[in-house]
Amino acid sequence: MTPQNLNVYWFLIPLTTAISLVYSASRNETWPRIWRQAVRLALTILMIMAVATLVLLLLNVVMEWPASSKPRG
Amino acid sequence: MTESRSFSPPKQVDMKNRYLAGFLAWLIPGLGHWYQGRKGKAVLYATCILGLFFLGFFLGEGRNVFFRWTDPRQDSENFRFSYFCQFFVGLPSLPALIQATFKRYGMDPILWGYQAEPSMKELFGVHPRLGPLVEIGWVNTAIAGLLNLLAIFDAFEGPAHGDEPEEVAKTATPAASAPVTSSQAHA
Repeated sequence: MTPQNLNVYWFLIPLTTAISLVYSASRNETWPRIWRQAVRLALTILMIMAVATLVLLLLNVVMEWPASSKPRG
Repeated sequence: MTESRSFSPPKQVDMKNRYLAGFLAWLIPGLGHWYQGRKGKAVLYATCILGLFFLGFFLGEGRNVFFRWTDPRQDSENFRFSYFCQFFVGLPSLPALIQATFKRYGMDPILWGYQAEPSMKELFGVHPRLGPLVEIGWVNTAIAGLLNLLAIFDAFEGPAHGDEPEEVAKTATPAASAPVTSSQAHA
């Protein structure tokens, strides 16, 4: 399997993990708090991106709908 | 009534020479923290930042980290703004600066052209072949540099919160954490 075959959304995982862990480690010194804040931040980022994707998909469907509903010919 | 707040003092971090720690943190992500004895954090920073940087570098087939000495006021289109972010990864992105300097003075690239500016043909050739991976790689390398800025700041200044309880850490502004005097309490 080459990276070209992978869905681009898979690349969100290392990016989100690195951002949340580094941000959390730069704010805290103790490990339980680093892990806890990192998990919370990663979930928040993923949730916001999922919502943004859904909104964009919905907009796409709404914008495409009148064109696709026109009778052919 | 005077409110008494009792919590353990923030964990003392031996910052050693903070300027040296900051420099080492820039040079190799995590090295500044290793020097300060914060070895767990050093491993975490090195793994996350270098991992993200080299993942991006690999995805762009090494053609997304390079620099070009141009005046952004004269030729903003060819100026590499992204290198400002990538620069903060330190040593892993430093060859790009060296190669650009060599090129500016008409010298041949060193290190077998590692991080040297690719030709236009090469540069435009990767897009049809790799598609969005070029952009994803570029974003990863730039974000790795920006994340290392946080790590440099952590090595230089220490963490925002030590090991005080989380509720206190959330509300601990300088004014809130200052001892409350009896006159303030009565007011």
